[in-house]
Amino acid sequence: MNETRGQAHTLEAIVAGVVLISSLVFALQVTAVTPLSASTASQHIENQQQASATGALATAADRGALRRAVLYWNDTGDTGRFHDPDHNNYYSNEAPPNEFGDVLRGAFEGRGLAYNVFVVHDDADSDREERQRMVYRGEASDHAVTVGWTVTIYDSDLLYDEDERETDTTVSSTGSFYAEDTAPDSIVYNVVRVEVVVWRM
Amino acid sequence: MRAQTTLDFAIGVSIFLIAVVFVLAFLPGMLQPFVESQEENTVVADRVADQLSRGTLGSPATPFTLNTSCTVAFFGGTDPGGCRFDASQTLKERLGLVGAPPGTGPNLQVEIRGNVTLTSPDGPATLCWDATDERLVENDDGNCDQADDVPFVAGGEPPSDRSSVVVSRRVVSVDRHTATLITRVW
Repeated sequence: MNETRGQAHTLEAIVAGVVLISSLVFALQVTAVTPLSASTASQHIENQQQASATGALATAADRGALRRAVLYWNDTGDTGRFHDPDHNNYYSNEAPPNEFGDVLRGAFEGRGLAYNVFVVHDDADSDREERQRMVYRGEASDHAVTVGWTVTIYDSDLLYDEDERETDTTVSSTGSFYAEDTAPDSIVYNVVRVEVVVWRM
Repeated sequence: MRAQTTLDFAIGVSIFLIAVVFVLAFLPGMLQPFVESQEENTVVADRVADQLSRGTLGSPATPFTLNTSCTVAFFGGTDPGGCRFDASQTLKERLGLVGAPPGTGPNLQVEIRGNVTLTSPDGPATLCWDATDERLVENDDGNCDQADDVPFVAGGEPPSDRSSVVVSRRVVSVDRHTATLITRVW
């Protein structure tokens, strides 16, 4: 028996295996992944998240909880913050402890979704947009959806305390509110937009 | 030194067979984008969920806020009149899913789930309208066993193979509670 014949068997088998695997890889490059393919980046899932976020904002606005959450500001000290934040002046581990937070928790908790809530308002001097964080859970993924809801704040609106009762402090009399009075000659204080960013973790 | 032909042959054949089995096991996953996709069911589920949450069960002027008495009537309660659907029609007829010829439309199930037990929150469950106390309870609370209590679920039972069911969710407000309207189409 020839000495090199045995290695030829192994070599031939390895080459045949490589040919098979490379043909499989080539065929995989040809198959298409459509936006509706079953994956975590499917367009259908993003549509559901967007509709859920819109529904959550609509139910909160309908009950007045959205306006109370925007004015849920603790103005003690030079720079105020939201009541009982767990990180600087915003919430990160849990939803805000008010009715708006209950709506957010009922809509998004337990489904593997993460969300950020920003309050976007105009700066009085420079007309740039500033974003105040209400809930921040990290940088959103590439497949996040954003839904906004506009809230108008008037000069005579009162801030709310921890139990969502009105205090005696109006928005225009305190200097530590996150938004400024962009229309000093009218009864409107500022027009803010509450943005909810939702994505799958 | 004699070449170990038998051993080399065995190694070669086993490597080759492993490669063949691997390729054959991979083929079904590769063909998945080309099998009949469920795009039609996805569109139907989305459209039904939008229609119910934005118009039929409430008012188009206040989307995602459901009228309690019309919602109870939709799932089998008494019709208070003035709702935006015909209470005498079946579920599929109200949603336009009968199909042509009749009976060829997709199957669906509509459910509203929420968490209304404030004392010990135990996760969302199917909501139910307690007619005796006139309030919203969960289906597994024990308060939903009378004949005129209306559980908020309608339609067929989804198949046990859940991978072929398309689900649409909407966050709605029913009787001042936050709930999720779930539409399953298969």
